[in-house]
Amino acid sequence: MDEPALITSAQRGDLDAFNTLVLNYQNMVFNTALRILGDEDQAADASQEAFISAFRAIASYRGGSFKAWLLRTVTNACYDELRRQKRRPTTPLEPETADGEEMDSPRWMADSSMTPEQKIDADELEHALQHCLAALPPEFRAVVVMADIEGLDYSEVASAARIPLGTVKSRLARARLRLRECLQNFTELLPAAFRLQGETQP
Amino acid sequence: MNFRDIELLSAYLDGQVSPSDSARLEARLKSDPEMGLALQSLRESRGLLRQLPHRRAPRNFTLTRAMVGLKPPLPRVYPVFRFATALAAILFVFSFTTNQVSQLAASAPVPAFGLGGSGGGGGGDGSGFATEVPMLEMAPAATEPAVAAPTMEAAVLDPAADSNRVATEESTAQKNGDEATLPTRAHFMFSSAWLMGLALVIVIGVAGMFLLPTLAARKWRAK
Repeated sequence: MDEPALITSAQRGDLDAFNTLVLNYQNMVFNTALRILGDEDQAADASQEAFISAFRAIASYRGGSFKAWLLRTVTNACYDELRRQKRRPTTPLEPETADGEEMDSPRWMADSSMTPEQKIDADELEHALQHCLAALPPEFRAVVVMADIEGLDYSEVASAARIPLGTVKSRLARARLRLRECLQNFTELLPAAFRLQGETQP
Repeated sequence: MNFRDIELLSAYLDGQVSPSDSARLEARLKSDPEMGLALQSLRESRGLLRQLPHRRAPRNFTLTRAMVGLKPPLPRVYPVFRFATALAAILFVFSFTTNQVSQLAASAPVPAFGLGGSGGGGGGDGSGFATEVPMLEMAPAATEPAVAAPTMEAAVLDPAADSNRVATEESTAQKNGDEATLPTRAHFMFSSAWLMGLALVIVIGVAGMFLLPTLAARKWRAK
């Protein structure tokens, strides 16, 4: 069944149709939540909350990019989670060993397709980027995650974040600038191989 | 170079600049090395973000009916059962109450005329059965003082005679009561068959209101 038909069925209360949409989008939703929140467990909780909210609110969906509509739901769930974190102490990003020390290369970040050296490089890059993303204000973070990580175009980001197109451009520029400044502190950590890889044309 | 230039460079990087702005920017990029460096810097930032690995969801986020609080739809006949039961209950209460009231109304004057009135003695105010019983005792005393006086005296002195007298009065009262009850039954507004029918509708309706959603929920969960 195609996406519009699934959405129409879900709007009529068909949970199976909605679950098909969930399976199609769950990786994107989880990944967005992970990059905004920086913690896998919290991202999973936010994703689940987002899908529950999305099902309850799907009657209000009036066409347009369903992906953007879904991302709006997940960013709202992430903002809620961030507000909760402000009220309560946060948990560390990295898992700890039995001795209570942070694991440098946690198993959950492992990718079996990489050599150990590549894995270390990738982990370090991810660590540095996640650190810099976490330093951004939440609204800037959401825009940069949607545009640069999830690959949404400006109009989709504007729709998902409910902000004008001009604000998307402005926030994205500021976020990229701040990220660049932040990443200057990790120059020695960033493997040269990751720089400008695949980046030749605008 | 100001923030407006950075914003323009960032949009240019994503191809979100109009052709005229793009041409102007490219001309500036050729003449201004600082702008070229800024563009390179933004491109690096974007490139690094694009390098981030895409994480797979650790589990499926599919929803269950319990998660979203979905309830099984009620069967179409459910409102009919509900309406019929409510109507039957109202009619039952009305009929039953009417019968009770009419029975009370019919039975209330009977003792006043049957007992107090036949005595013909003074002091009968017809205020109730309880007050009429002593009047039965006193009535003969008023009309036949010569006979009544020893009887009352004997009743006080002789317990056996007293018990005989009470039994006689009870049988008299019962007789009178029967006479009073027979016409009262005839005054029931609603027959017992009608009440039984209503009660049956209520029982069936309540059972239906309980069973229909249960069966519908079972069928719905099995889907």
